[in-house]
Amino acid sequence: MRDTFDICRFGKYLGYDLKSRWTENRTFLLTFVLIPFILYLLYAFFSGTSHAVSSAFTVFNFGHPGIAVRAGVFVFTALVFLIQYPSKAYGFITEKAKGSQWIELPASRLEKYLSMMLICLVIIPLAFFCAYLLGDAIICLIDKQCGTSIVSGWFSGATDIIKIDPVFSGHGIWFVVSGALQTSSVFLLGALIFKKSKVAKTILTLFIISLVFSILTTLVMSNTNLDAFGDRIREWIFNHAESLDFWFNFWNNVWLALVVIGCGIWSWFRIKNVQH
Amino acid sequence: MIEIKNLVFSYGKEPVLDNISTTLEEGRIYGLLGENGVGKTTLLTLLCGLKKVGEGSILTDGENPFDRKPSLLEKQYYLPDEVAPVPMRAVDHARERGRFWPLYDQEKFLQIMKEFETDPNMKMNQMSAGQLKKTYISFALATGAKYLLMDEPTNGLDIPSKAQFRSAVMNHTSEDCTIVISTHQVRDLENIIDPVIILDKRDVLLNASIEEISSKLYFDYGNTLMDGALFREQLPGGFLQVYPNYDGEESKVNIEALFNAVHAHKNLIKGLFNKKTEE
Repeated sequence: MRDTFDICRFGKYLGYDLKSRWTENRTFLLTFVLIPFILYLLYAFFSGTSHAVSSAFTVFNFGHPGIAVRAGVFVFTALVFLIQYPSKAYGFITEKAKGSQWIELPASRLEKYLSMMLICLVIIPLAFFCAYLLGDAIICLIDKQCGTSIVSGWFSGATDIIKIDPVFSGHGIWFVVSGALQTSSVFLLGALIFKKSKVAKTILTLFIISLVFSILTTLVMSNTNLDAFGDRIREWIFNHAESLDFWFNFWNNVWLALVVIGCGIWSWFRIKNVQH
Repeated sequence: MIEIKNLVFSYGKEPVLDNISTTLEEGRIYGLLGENGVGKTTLLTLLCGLKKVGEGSILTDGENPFDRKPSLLEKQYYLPDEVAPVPMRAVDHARERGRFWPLYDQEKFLQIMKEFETDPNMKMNQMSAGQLKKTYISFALATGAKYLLMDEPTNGLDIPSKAQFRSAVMNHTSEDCTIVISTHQVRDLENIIDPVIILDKRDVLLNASIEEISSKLYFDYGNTLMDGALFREQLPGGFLQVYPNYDGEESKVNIEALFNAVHAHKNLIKGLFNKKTEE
């Protein structure tokens, strides 16, 4: 049993793994966490510049980054971060020199796997969100003209940009969390499978999978009585009118679980059998 | 003890190791020699569990290295030819990783780094290739691992460091430690390796101790050319010749000459050494 999992060794390994990830990726992490401040400074700079030339060209007025801009930048930054981070943190596993060292470290495969999943899917995204949103809150606290912070906006409903579809209203935070989990697990798997250009190849693979699914769906739909199908959909919506929100979220969560568990299982087998 | 039985390994359809059997005993420093591409690195990576055996088996103290059980990983350390430049101070990197080897000794690490005249407070990604290699060698020796597998450890080391390496290996390993050193630089390690394993494509040509080699082969450093030499090389002021040792005379084994003699007369050498084993 001790060869499979030992809680003391796992704690020791998790600490080592966290420290190593921080040492090797701190510039990347800090750059992303500092984006609210960078955005604010850019606004301040261009605001000053546009003010200086406004007498000649009154075209731009940057003013202060409002909630909509900051929320939009946050979603985009989070997406780029979650796409990039897994390969930055664990892409080395497929490299000969670093990967060999990682395999040869005396901890079990399960301990290494659990530590990787915890760091990549929970600890780092959580730390990133907290640090980013704290930075955003600090800016709003310092400069009242920026309006409400993204976190307050979530609860007050000011961050409409995150809601995407009214059917998810009230589930903005879970939408972000589930999106983060899915993105991290998919791109972590890509980082473990591909040896080079990990992010680009993962995106390309996702594109090919979507293309195949689109073709298959088109083929199925072309052989389906669309009127009858539409009627059945309408009937289902009519019968579940009061619980639509629940059902859409239910299927969203089923899909999330499938993606995360599927990628998790695949990542486990990849870790278990990786060779150098 | 490491037991290799009928080991088969190939890269796709390209066979590398074919039906290899040998045993590595405790407390020895094995020199793993062979031409380029015969599978020395592959064998080392199989021994430490970085690759999965195709057919046959490798058992280290009764365990399959590919299972990568912590209880076995704690007893072994593999030093690859290419080492990673980590953005950490050597001393911190060693301390952090060393905690996973029960016999790791940080003082010993610092002592060996001192012997290598390498600053442990330097960041590893700012080190030269030689300094980085010395840091990893120091760490490998400080782990107190029972099985040390080293791939070309003297590559990139300057002349004084090669002597320091030999003395570090002799002074900082325990008596029951088994070391396997794969190398092309036989002259760097001539005085410390015993036994010698010579690997050929898909075969172990020789696995014999220096004493055994000396009893079977005679290394003549004289200036008279003799008939029947298995290998001959002209040296300043004479010749180095290798013959079968029919008279049981003692001579100093020259590993480079041995390697060339073995390669020139594979079957004869195999027969010579197998006969002794059978006796």
